[in-house]
Amino acid sequence: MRRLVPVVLAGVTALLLGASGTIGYLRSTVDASQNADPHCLYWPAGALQFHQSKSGAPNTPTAPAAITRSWQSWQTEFASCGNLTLSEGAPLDTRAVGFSQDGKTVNDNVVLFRPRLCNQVVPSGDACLAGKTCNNTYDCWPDEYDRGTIALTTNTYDVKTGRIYDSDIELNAASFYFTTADAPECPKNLPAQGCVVFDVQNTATHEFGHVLGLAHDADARSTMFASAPVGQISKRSLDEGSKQFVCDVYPKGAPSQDCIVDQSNGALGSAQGCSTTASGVSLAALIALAFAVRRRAT
Amino acid sequence: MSAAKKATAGLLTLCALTAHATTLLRVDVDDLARRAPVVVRGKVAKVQSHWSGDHMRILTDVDITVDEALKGTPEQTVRITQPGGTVGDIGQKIAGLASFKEGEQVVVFLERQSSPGYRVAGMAQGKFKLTPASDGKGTLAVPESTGDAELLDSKTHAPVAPNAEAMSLESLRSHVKAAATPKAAE
Repeated sequence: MRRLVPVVLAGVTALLLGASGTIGYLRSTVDASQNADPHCLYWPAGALQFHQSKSGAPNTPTAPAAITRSWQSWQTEFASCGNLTLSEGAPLDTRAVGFSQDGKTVNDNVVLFRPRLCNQVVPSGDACLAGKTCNNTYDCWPDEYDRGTIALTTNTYDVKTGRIYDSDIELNAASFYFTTADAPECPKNLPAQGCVVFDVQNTATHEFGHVLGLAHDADARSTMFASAPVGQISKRSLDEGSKQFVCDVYPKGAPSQDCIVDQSNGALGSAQGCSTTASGVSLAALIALAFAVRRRAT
Repeated sequence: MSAAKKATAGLLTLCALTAHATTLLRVDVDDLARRAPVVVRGKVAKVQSHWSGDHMRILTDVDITVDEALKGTPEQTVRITQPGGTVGDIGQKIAGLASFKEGEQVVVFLERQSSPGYRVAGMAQGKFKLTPASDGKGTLAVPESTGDAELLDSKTHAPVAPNAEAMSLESLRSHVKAAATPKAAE
């Protein structure tokens, strides 16, 4: 009988790491409410490419270069200790996000800015409303998203393994003003490109963390800390925990790591084990945790 | 001020009032009650994920059988539609959304979408799960965890802990009714 044991539960990871004073990381998992095993999300070793939309960002002509810099931050870390080769492909015409299984459509990973709200441009009664396709049909921020969301990353994954198939980022340019300047913070109600409102690179670096399988982290020093007030640019640089995530989950020369272990063969700490120990948690603590979970499960 | 400048200023104002990424402005019950046109108590009758019409996105429909309308005039059954979910072996994930399980007793603060159906106001903050109080007297309304979304103070925008605490259903009901009075609606 197959037995799956979580080696490190995501929430527990943050708790332990936080106590040590070291910046940790928190991984996204499969939605356990669907009676699925709580695999962590990850890309298999190999190449990972994303594309920007040719349309760029309204009001922010320098946005594409800023997004490239965001991706380069992660590229640098993967080149050092990761098993993914990150690259940026040519800009695409596509304005669609999501994952197609038709076998014909190429599921490119795309980053795009939505320039308007769907409820401002979609005619009443349009078929896209019932089909929930307005974002892709009218290139808009859909009604089922909260208007107060600045950017969303949609990860499509295999429920049985946690393997990510596709990831797309939408930025809400309909409600938020994006900039790329280094400083100063723009005066309230006077946005301009020469100062900082919502920084593109700050936002994209964070969102790329989601693309790679990171969840939000409660540590304010983390790139994956979810808050980003007006004027913030600190997330342009990766924190030590996010860098460690790359080395742990995507070890160079080895398979990408899940966070639960199949114990059907009785082995603990197999190649599938999650090795977050370098972030400040001792291996002994993780093994103890794993056995504690196992005892509760039996 | 030109129309463009006004529009831009408006956008920045919106920025100042709203949330970042799946960081949400922390909204308390009174804020939710004022913002949401419909607040219901009911039972989660059905949770079903499906592909969008173009088979590109997964969305989840949550049907709630309404036992009590705390605000507004909802149908007997309300449907919440939100992005993400699981269909077969494929899952799609977006952080910060409320999760629902069939059979749950809940209070939800709802905003209408352009198409039929609702979304939960304030994402996960707009959902409370109802459970019997530990002393056996009454019912507790327990706020949904905001998961890996982070909350910001609505005035300072500084990160803050969730302030939603479990309260009695009766207390929650009172908050909603107070917010629905003409004075609160101004």
